[in-house]
Amino acid sequence: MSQQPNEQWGTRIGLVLAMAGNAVGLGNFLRFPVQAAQNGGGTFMIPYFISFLLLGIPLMWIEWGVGRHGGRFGHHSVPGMFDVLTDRKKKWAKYFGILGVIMPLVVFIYYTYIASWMLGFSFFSLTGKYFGLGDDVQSRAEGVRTFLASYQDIGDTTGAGGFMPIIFFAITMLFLGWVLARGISGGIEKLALYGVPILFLFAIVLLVRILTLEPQAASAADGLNFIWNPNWSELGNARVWLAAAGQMFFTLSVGMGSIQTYSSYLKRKDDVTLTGLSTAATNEFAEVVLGGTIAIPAAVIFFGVAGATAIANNGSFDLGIVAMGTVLGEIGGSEIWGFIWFFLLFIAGVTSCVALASPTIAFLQEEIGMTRRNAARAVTALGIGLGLFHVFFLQRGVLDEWDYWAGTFGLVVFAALEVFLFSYVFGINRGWDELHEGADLKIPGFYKPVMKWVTPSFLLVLLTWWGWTEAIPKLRMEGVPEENVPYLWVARAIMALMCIVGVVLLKRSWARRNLG
Amino acid sequence: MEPFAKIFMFVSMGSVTFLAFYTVMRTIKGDPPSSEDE
Repeated sequence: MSQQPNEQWGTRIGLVLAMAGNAVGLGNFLRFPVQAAQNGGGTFMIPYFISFLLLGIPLMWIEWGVGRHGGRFGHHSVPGMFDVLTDRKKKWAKYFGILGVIMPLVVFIYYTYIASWMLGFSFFSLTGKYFGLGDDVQSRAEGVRTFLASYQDIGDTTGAGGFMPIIFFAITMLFLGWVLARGISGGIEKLALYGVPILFLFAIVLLVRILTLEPQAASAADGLNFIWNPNWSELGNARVWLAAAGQMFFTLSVGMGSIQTYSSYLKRKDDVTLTGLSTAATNEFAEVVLGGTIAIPAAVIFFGVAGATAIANNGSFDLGIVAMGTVLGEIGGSEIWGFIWFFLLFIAGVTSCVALASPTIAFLQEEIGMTRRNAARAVTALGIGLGLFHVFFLQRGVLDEWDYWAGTFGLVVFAALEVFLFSYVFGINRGWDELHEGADLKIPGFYKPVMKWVTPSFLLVLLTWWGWTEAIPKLRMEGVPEENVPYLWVARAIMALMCIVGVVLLKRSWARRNLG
Repeated sequence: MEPFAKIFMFVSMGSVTFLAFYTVMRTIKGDPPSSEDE
């Protein structure tokens, strides 16, 4: 169908690293330890691993299978993939598939802005800009917090200085545009081949440094105890189970559309079962072993368990930027250690960003007939234009609004729809055979009923719970300061407009090609 | 560290490390992505 030259992965290790780069992101190093600490420590790992087995792995395999199946028909973005899942009999399917193009684009835009903070702080680490802003550890932590707030507030010249966020954001976006324009094997795969090993190396070096730090307010062992000590009373708490299931989406990058696009560049006989499992396992290694052993233990060493609890309750960025920035400022060679931490987060961010942009680039190639270079330019221009909305109005909560609808609730909606199409419309038996085409790993038989019954049920419970407890209050903007309401409506309008434009482009393209 | 915390940590970390290395090594040893045109 596509008139574009065939693109494909150059090497299998390149594909695994690119998929791992997609999955391993800021969430592995910042969100996971906070979630574990807030949800019963070691107890959290029980629902976490059950969710990995019953939700994460099946979704990963389904998305790899859906992508490769769509690619066989020349589709590299989700609308066409959903259409062929219904054997082109359900015209509505492709319109729902537009979610798999717009949601990753929305996330790409604000996630790139967040990744650019990490580039900025890598630079500020080397220049020592945020170190020593106080007389003791607590006041220095407050100094880093003020510095971060100043950095995020455009025009505030007291900290990093005025318009630095725009500069780092533009650099990050242009770098991503350059990588994306170079294509699958020439750009994305090369970035993964260099970036992901550096990320792992930096994380291991930092992990060793943190675990060998002299005890201050507490020891590294106290930090590990804080994350892993089980609180059994939490095991019966539904909130803990749902937090663990939710973490699966963030950590594996499922329910997004990017895995499908990456796997659509495989050939019919290329394995998806073993390769899909290996990327999921690599992500878990990065999350459980590396992510769980850096930020929280470091915070506990310098702030004690009570201080680390307060930090964890303040969220991922308080832990990742304020606490880690302070901690790394306290040890010898602060400039280098700070750079290693923030640059590893930057790499984790950009390898995910290229995956998030890929569905839109594929969509523009497929439906508009753009060349990859022009599609990459269009996405970069759109990313800079709409990203500036977040740069200028971050304090109004616009980034959180996009993050909730596209990067949290939307993932579950999209995944539920996808599993329904795969298991019930395409059919679980055909789906099972499709996954095993050229497979290097036979999926255990019990996964067949899991994909048909358990995973969809898991998703429906998650959807209902989140819909009732979070989505409805969020939709009503409960608790939002009055002055922020117009900005949030603009944020929603932009997302809605992107969906409408996507649907119109899709409808015209398919009508032009008489595909219905 | 509490005994249970140690157990959870080592079992969790050990499991994912084994799974990651085993699957990645098997994947790398497998055939490269095929290049035949459909």
